Amino acid sequence: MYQINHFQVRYSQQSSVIQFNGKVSIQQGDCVLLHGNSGCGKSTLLLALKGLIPNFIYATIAGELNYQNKPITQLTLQQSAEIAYLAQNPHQQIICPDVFSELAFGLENLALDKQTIEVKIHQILAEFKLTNLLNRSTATLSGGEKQIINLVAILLQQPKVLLLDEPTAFLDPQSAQQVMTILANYRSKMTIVIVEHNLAYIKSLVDRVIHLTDQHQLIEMDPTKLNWQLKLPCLIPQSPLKYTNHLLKISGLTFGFCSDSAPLLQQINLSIAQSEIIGLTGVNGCGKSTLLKLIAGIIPSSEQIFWQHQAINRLKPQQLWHKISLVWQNPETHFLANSVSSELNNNLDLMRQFNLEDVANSSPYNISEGQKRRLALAIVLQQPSQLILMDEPTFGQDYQNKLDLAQQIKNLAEHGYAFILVSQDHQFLQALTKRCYQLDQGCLSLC
Amino acid sequence: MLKNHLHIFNFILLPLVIIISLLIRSTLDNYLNCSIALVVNFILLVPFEQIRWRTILWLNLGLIVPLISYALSCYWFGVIQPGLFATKLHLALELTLRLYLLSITSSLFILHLDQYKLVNNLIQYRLLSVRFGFALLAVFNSWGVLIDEFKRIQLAYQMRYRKRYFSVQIIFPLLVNATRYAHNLSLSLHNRGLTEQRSFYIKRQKFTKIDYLIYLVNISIVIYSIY
Repeated sequence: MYQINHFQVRYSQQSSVIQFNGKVSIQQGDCVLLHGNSGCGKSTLLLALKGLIPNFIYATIAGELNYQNKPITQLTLQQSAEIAYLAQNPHQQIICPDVFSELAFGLENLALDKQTIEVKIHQILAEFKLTNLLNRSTATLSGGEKQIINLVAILLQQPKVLLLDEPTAFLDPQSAQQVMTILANYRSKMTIVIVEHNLAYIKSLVDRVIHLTDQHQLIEMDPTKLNWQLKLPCLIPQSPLKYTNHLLKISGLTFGFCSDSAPLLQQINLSIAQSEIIGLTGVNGCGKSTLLKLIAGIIPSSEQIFWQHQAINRLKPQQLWHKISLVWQNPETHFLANSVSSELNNNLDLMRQFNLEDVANSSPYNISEGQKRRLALAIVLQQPSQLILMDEPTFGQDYQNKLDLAQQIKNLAEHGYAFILVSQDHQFLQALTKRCYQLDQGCLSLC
Repeated sequence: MLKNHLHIFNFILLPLVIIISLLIRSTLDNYLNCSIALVVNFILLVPFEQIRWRTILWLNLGLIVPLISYALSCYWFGVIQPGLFATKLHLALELTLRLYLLSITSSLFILHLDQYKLVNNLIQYRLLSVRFGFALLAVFNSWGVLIDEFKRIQLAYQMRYRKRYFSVQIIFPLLVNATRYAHNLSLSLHNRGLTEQRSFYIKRQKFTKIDYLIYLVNISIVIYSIY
């Protein structure tokens, strides 16, 4: 189906060339995992396999990349329609205002008649027990639901090849599992090429692994030799303090956005001391991020949250933000300058501490995902604060990036910083925290 | 229900008729006729339960300051043409009322417009190309996501610099985000095989006799008001 032979891509206005050395072919019916470190060019290769590079995204290519024995540059419209591509961000792929029209969109492009469209949509939704989503507005769907609809929408077009770029990066474990169930059902009907960091999800799906080395070599790898269950080592900080100096205390916090429905958070009790790391987990939409916003004073609260015995609603937000900082889920939310060094006010120590010296002059938007995450944390640390709240710090991160980030958090905790980590990544929380809480139906319980 | 069968283009054409009438003749009689036409058309087109009362209220509140400023400017700086039987107060009130009616007519219908239905019809009537139409629709849908992104970036800025106000510095990340969003959306449109030779699940609406009747009544009101 595909032949890749010493293929190269150079994006316009970039001097560096992304190389894929070696000779690899992908046969019909294969389910291939494209494996490699963050930033090695896996996503670029997927875009090239779809023909988006160079036909849609301006870039120059060299070497050989053939689809059905023809160069990818000669891909016809019909062939392009045979190749489906699912990007990692579910929010940025939705086109229509409701689920039905979203699913019908691709079928309309195949010029199918009204009845066929209706039958196909009802069939596939019934197959995956998603009929309840049919009349929903796409704006009200969660990230997981959006990604499932995106996947179902492209499966409806019955592609021959399915290219998936980290399909579970923005999803909670339940939604990720649901995506994998859908893929497993279609596994035998098509060729799948997948880039994924959460290897445990796709273990049963994949039959071939192509590894992209740091030296840009494409190597066929034995799937049995790949470590599918990479575990982070225990990185719980060894603090001399006995967690007696309580910074933040929440007692009996109940909160809801609507007075006529059940509160989102009920009777929340929580305390955190200096140098302590607390984990907070729960399904999408359970109120984890709302709790963080309440603690950070972004959402006003009544007298149930205390900063060193003082109710935070009596503090001005500016005063509170001297003590509490928030690292958002998307690190790019923090970027304001056009270079890494400007973001950090040319603070060499901070750049060294977070391994960002090599990219000091690069735009923060052009560095790797792991570097972006570390830069966001470094930006937050420029201001004096004692408690750092982190919202989904491991989204879209590979093992090495998670390890680096966990190491940084551990070091900071040992220097007196307290952390509340909101994450779906249980393994990450287990590696760093002694206390991890589950938020379920508004109630907090130890897990 | 009648409202669901009325053509979506009425949301554009009827206010246009009223606006033309307002621009052609500035008399209180004409304003009164236009106001009646506006209310009747609005009730005809928008189901009661879909009326966005709160937004309309905010819209009116938002207009108060500019309208008062406009009225005062007209009163102080307006010039009465020789031979006209009018006072400066009369002139100020008349012009302010016209400005209010122009603003409310254009915004009221746009607020309650089903954008998907409109774009779908514009494409099927070949008034918009498929590529441009669906790109436009995707932009309409992304509005909520972009507003959320704006709020997050602003908060991140405020927390970083411990400030409470908006800064132009956040325009750069906003632009980057919007550009990336647009790029990803266009990729998504391409990935779903967007093509000019496509079918439409929702067929284009046809103008009915009732639509023509409504146009006739509206145009009659305009002609009556002008002459």
